[in-house]
Amino acid sequence: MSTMRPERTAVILGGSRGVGRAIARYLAERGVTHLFIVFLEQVEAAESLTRELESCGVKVTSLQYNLGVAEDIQTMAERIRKLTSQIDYLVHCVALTTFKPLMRVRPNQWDLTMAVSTRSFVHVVQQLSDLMPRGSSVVAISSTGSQRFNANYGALGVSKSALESAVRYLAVELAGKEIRVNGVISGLLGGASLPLFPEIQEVVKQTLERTPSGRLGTPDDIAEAVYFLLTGASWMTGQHLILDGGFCLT
Amino acid sequence: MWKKEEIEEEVRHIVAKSLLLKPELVLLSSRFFLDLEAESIDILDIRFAIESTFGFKFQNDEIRELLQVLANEHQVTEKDIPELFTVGRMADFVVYKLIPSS
Repeated sequence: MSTMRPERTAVILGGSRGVGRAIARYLAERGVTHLFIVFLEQVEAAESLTRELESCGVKVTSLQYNLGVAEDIQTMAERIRKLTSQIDYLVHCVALTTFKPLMRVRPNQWDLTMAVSTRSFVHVVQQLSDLMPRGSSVVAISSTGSQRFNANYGALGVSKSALESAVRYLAVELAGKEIRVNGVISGLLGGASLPLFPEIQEVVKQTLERTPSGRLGTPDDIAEAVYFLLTGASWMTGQHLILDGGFCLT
Repeated sequence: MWKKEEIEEEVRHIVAKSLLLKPELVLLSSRFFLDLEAESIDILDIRFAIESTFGFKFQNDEIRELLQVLANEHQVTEKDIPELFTVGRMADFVVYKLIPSS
């Protein structure tokens, strides 16, 4: 695995909680010097993370923007542009949805899920890629619900499938600039990261029964893989790492 | 300059459009979660539409604070909030944001 050089800047979309927060910590502990944390609502979480990372000597800029709105993304990009001339790592870790059968998802719920969870990825990359130098890297966080049926996960599952497709397209389109674009496909995460599914405990039970590693994932599991994709894997682009404890093999 | 009645009418229409309901079925007294079967994602959708229509941004956790004020006013716990959170309450909040003196 390569070692980070001094003065590295990362933008983490959805960085105040859960997986995004774990990624922010992981990068801060490994040499990223300036972190942009983008969040929608969790002000206290963003503030506590900022305090924590700043106490470790990392410069943190927390930005509250609605990634479901195109104008907000443009405004966010303009602000970032004023604060840095270079982005080395960009991580998309944003999702918003409703957990219920796809047959009952209303048009507004579908549109918001797609706008926040998928369109924002493409739009942010469009807005910020010119700040990304050769050798920089983008990672998007997806989930195994993109590849197979999960009850009550239809809207986000479809959205994540589109996200993975966008990773592949952007990887080709940005290859000439030597910007790599990859993704992580996460299985079910435990603890506070458990989604608010109906009947989630039954889902956990069934997942554990089929998971060879015998445990659910953690945000740190995802952060570790994201770090690998951002800083190593220099000939890897347009690909996804599946992190599910072996669930998909059974 | 918006008038209170215009704001209420516009909020009713935003809610109706978001939830795919006929506007006449959305009343100021309609409870989001109980009468209109809204979900949390719908409240966000409605929030974004309100911000776009009226040209202001909800600050930080204002929706949560609005619900907390409701709970405090009625001396109920968080689980009782669905009983209290109406379209009219949301419209009142927009009125407060746009016409602070009202």
